[in-house]
Amino acid sequence: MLSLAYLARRLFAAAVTILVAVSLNFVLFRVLPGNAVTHIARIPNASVEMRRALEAKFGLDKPIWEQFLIYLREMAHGNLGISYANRQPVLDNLLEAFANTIPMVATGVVLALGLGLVVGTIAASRRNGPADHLLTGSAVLAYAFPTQFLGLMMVILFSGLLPAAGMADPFLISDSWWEVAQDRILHMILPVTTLVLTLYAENALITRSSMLETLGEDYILTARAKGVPRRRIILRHALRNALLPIVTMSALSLGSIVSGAILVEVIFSWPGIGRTLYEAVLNRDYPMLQGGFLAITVVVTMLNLTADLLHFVLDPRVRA
Amino acid sequence: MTAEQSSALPREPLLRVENLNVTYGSHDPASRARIQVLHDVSFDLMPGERLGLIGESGSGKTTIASACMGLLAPSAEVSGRIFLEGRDILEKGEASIAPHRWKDIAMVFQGAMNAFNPVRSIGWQIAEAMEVQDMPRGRFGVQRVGELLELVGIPAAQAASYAHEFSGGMRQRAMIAMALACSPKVLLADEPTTALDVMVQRQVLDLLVDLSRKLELGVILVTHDLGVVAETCTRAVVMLQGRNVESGTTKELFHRPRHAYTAQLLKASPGYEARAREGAGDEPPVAAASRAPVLAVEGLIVSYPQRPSLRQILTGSRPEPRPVVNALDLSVAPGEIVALVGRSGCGKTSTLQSVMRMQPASGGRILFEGQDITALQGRALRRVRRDIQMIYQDPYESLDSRFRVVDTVMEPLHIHRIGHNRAERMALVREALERVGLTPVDDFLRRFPHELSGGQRQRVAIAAGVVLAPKLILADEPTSMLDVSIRSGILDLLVGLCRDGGMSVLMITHDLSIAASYADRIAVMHEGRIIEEGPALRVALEPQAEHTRDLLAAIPRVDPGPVVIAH
Repeated sequence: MLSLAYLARRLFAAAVTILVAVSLNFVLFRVLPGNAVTHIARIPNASVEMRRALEAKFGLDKPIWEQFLIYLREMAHGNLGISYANRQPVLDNLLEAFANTIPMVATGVVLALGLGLVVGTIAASRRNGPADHLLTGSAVLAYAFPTQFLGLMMVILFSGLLPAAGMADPFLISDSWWEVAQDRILHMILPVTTLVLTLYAENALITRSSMLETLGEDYILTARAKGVPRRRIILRHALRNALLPIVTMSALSLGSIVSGAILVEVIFSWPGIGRTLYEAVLNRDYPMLQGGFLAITVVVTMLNLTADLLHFVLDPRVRA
Repeated sequence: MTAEQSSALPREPLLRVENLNVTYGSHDPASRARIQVLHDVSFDLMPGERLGLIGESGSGKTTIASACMGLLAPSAEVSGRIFLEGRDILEKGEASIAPHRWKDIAMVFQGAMNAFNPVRSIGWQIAEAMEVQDMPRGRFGVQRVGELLELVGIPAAQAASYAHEFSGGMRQRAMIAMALACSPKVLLADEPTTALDVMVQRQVLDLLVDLSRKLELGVILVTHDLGVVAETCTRAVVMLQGRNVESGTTKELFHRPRHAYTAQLLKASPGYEARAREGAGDEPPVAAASRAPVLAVEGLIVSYPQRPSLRQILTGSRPEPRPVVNALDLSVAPGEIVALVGRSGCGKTSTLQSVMRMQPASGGRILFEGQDITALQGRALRRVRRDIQMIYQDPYESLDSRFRVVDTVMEPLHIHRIGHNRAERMALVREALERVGLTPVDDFLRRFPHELSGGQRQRVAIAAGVVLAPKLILADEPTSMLDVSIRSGILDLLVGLCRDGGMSVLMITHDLSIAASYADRIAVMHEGRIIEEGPALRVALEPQAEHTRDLLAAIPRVDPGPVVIAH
């Protein structure tokens, strides 16, 4: 019963967050100087009548709360507006961009998380030994590299060996699904590697410090006194406790990855959400930006909700 | 000493520690970084015997326990011998102790709060101890976990619970159950009851004595509390700075201490009987009734909101807040020390926080010098806070580790804009440090908390309150984290501040004997109410309420009973 209440509270909080974000999203673009009409009506000799007619056509003559209600109603029906740039519905553009981004970013994030966990755990369990120094040192080094520098180095070093632009070979015409898949995977290698290198270090360092803190707890001493072997102490006692802060941290950083992949996507010309937003900014494509921000908010909220639910599974203290 | 014991107990000792030396730091004997924490410690433990290991923090008592378990830090250098049933288990270092861990020697740790893994069930952790020692697992294992829990008085069905679902006392019992999982012969209990309130302490100690008799278990009880030793142990060893300064049967040790340190420890242990004999507490030192009280609490209610259940969320109703303090009346006269005594969870800390206005009151009034401060805000509240200062339980936590003593004591002056320049403030800081007995002041001003002992830290914390010349000091268990011999110094200081400084003290404690030894008046609190109130010694010697009597009965007495052999 109580645990259901916990779930209900979390879901409610997520819904409120999204609603607030939606409202802010509406206000933000109304606060900006000028509107769609001033943009279009900037032609010479534009009469006042023409501006009025345009405002009526776009519904901008209505009171602001009515505009807000219309905005909410249309959004509920999946209408996020039309992109200025390519005259396509924003929703379709976003869905396509996300579909391109998710395989690349998800692969990179999962690999980075796994690598970070393993590296951090090994470093913590061999604290101050040569393995720790090597692993921690290289993690700090990787963490210090800016994404764009690392990405460009990848392009320079490997562009002959591996495809360094786009997500598919435009000239590949093949009926064999295997060849298509192979082509996709080859295109993914460089951007994913860049992403993993920039992300794993943070995970590794967090895991290491969280692990070290956990290893200093009293219950680890109890386990040692019980005669539990070292390996089992780390895997069964320490890791599960050390995971709790890692889950929260990585959910937060995962959210920023959606937009943070911008650099990687621009460098490798990956037609994903990051590059779409980047181009929307360049083109002042407001509906596209508005939709993109909304999508990112929803994704981040969902990821945090997932982290809360994971906590629920991992930590009995939350369950009570 | 050994001859005496072997004649009294003809059996072979279960555990014999011989010339145990432990050194930390540099391997170079001449180096200053080399610290010897144990010097030639020797003692025996018989089957079914309970041996008390008495000492203050830093005396090396926990190091002895860790050495027996092979849990010393890798940098420790160990010499000497530890015989378990005649075999030297220290011969090859940790490698030769490891096979005996938990199977022959098990340990109950201090502060069972953190000794259990929070994300694994209690039953899982007990079963793990058996599993790694190749004891039966599966259905038989589950059954044994249940039996062990029943043995310490916990229903077997609770095995699936987690540590946070247990109270402090239950956790310590579960810890004992886990220690017994592999039927050890020796049980090391390191301050097993320090964090528990007196009534729970009594239950856990009774359990330990009972188990030791029933299972022929040799128990080593590490503690700083002489009362605990007097009530549970047959023999005791007194440790001072890593040396075994005295050992013998508890009765001999307590009635005819041979070493000056033992005598000093015995003197430092609170005994309000002595105060009663001196007749000090009969009349209140100040004419309390004649003057208006500094603090008057009238019908105070403090309640905490409960988390709503799903149904309550859906129906939009709020759960009833749970009152922790329920219609409490209390007053403190000028120059008076009032002790608020009660078990943990009775609402005494909530009361104190409410007086400090850190926890809003849900009902009732708090009058400070006749002014209703229950709803004061902003500047007026800050003015009143200057006159009410708080001293916390743990001086290791309450001082900022990056603040020098002078910064800690001067900070309140800055906050309340007292003194026109640094020199004026400095003079006040010096005066405050002198009043709390940190002299010569110049030695202490520039020190960081880690360069101070526990007692000195608490004095700094008190100085930071006293520097504002408050009218009322609130003290939350001011001595429970400190060693016995330091306690009396801190409590004497508080008494002195009241007698000479015109301050009043409202102190909370779970230890009625401390309250009876130092306070003018005692208010006994139970489930959010005051159930008994009166002059300190009257409450302690002629308790009216049943709960007060229970609290008194639970305090371990230092007197181990009459000596059988005549002088």
